[in-house]
Amino acid sequence: MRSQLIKKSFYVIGVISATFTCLFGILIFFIFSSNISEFLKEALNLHVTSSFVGGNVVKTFYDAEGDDKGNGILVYPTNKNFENGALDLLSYTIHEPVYDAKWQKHSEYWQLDLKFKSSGEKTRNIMIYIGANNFDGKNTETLFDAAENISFNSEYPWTYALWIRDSKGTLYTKENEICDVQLEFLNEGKNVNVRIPIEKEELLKFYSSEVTWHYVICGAYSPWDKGGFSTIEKRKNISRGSVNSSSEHNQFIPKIFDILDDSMFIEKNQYEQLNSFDLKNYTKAIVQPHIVNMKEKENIINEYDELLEKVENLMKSENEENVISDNSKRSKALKLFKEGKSEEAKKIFKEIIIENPNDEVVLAYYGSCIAIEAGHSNVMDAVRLVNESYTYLDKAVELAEGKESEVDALMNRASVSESVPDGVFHKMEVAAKDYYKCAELSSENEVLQMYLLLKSAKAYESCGQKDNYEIIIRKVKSLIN
Amino acid sequence: MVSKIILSSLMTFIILFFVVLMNNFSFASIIYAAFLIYLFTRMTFANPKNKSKYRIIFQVVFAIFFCIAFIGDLYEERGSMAITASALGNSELPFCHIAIPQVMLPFIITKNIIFPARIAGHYASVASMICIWIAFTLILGRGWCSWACFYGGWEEGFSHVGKKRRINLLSKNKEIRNFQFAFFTFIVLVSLGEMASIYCEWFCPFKLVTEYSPMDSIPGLIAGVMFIVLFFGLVVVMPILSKRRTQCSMLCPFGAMASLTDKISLFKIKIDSEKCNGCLSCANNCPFGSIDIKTIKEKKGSPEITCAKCGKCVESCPQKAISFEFSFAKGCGKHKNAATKFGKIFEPLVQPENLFRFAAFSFGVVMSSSFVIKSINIIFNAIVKLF
Repeated sequence: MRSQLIKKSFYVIGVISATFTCLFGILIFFIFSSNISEFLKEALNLHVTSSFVGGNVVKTFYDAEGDDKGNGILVYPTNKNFENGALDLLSYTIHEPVYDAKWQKHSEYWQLDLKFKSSGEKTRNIMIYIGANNFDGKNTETLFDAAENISFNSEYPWTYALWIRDSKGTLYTKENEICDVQLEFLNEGKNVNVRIPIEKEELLKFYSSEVTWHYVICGAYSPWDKGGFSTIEKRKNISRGSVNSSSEHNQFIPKIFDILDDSMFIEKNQYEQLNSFDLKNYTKAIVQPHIVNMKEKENIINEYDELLEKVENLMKSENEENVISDNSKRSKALKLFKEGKSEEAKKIFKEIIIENPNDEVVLAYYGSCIAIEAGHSNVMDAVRLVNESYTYLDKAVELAEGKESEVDALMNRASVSESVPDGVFHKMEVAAKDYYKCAELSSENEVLQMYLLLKSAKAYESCGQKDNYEIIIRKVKSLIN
Repeated sequence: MVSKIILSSLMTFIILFFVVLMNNFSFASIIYAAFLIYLFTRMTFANPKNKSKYRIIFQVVFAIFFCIAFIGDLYEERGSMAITASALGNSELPFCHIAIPQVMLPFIITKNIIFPARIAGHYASVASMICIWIAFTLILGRGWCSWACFYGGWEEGFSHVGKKRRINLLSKNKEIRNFQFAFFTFIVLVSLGEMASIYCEWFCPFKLVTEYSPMDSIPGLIAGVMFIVLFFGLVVVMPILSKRRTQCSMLCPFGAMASLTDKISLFKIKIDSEKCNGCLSCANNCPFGSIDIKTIKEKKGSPEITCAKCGKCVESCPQKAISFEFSFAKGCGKHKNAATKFGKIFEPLVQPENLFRFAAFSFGVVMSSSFVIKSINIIFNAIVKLF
């Protein structure tokens, strides 16, 4: 009798749970599915077999942004194909050599990744010189004579040279061409992934290298010049690279716009290296290598909290409260908004929008007010309100482009994008990009710039773009130092 | 009646939220929502003999529109349906549920996913698909195959093309089932040995309507011939001739795995042996071959392990001997009807069949919402361009 009663109670509980699960549980599950899957990813530590994505990363070197001026005086060719930043190397990643890779063109390969500021694979001429402890090369001059106008540290001679130009890549020794390499241009050509097939017997020694060293060199591509490195001349408005008109030109200036130069690993900076030529003794500039211990795996930078604390302390010491002085409707609404009275501010913003529908600042703040309202609403209204807020925020950003108010518009959109659930609206990447652009526009206020960069880094991390996160963190670190 | 109205209203709310609101009240979303509301309401109020007609319509629409959206996406991103090296190198291949049984053992052993898919943050990422699979398994078990599988609709559709059954596979049910489990074991073990998703690479027939490896090498060409032959053989021709879902019941490793994990779900199909007169109408109508002559003769009380809870047996039984049941109801004695008026009104609401249909349809609605709307837009744009 008692066991029957227990069974009955169990059945009743079961029916109630099943009813709730079927009628409401699925709805709730899908609303929170992105959070659940994020949790699952973290809990199970999910990641794809490294052979699909180039093998385990051994090391990533970062190069300063905006240093694409060669020895400091070069200016880009005027040809319109040379997009600003196309030759600006940002990072260089070395992977472990991979074997027995599935679904790939080459089952044995070694991947190297380059990241540039802007797209322009047709305009770049990249040379990567590689040496290792178990290679026998003794080369300290460039692959093609009189091409780049540089030489290399004699303690670290190269054995293999990888030439990437015009969407084609080839591996050479000083004497021979070895093979073509597989190239992938990703992210509109900003990222170049190089896969060196190492099935050949002579290349198998890549697997056993304990230490490798790398010289990464980027010039402007010209099919008619030696080694594809466009000649540098002292003239303006020519399609080749040129020396800044105010600077002195000589034949020893390297025909290079950017080299890999990670300040954490190289003592001499790029300008010092590329200016180390000696006119009296006729010696070329000497470039320094980046040395990698292939048996050590990279530690991912995790200094966000530490950096944020530092920047917030710096921000506290600066009194940057903007005092709104005039008595216009707009100022009044902005003041109310900053005091947290968004509902009252929203009404005034609405009135202003009716009078002037193209006031980008008001549109931006009005969009934020709607998003704040969404935060206090039920799920159905929240989705509708967030979508509505973006019609104003997007319009504000569009109207503000190039104006002083651009930061305001971007900041509003970034903070809304950062706050709304990414699983539903997919706006985290928008937040990351907007914060980054705000940081670029706030270069006069370094502390604010660092803060915005950190916000951007965090947003990039949240949407899974780890490399962008790391690049920005490095940038903030260099700004703090 | 009241419970049917409640169920339809609740479903309308879910449809409006996930289809219309989440797609910003777009025209396509309103059309699709209207279709879904109509379909569910008709299904809820329909004669018990006709309910599965609406499920079939839903699954066929889901499958076709899924493929249109998927191929549209591929052409937008890559310009073709062939997998590119950059999609592989960036780990951007969409992850589908069929890959789950292949990646599980290698993941347990190596802690790596042997499939170049995005891990999280995307509708077809590894984490999101595993998440949906777990939720579905716990609630509906192998009901996935008859309600939410975005490939199953192809076979479902083709199995209803012909009026007459040309090949009767009833006597081969057991062999087909055994073959599916043997093939599942083979796929799991070879995937583990090779550390690659072997079924996806060589056998999956749905590559013809989704994406495939470029056929620029001998292995690529062999794989290409295989998926074309398997698609036309098992997804088109055999379902037309046998009126069965042959690929689902013979080859699909996910189907086999879902059968094995079905025990933990909330619902099951029960055959009342006392009422059953052995007419075999259920066995003849089962698209998954889950009811054998032996199942009925030996009075097993439930279909075989591969039952996908499509409900066809329930409506085909002239004796009303087959019904949906809660899995946890075993040993609780006979269900008593509600005694009060209030209870009588709400009793149908907690009936396993209604709850199962509601839950399965909800999954389908949410999973199909973005695909179908994208497809409607693709079709509209194509028509506009044409004229």
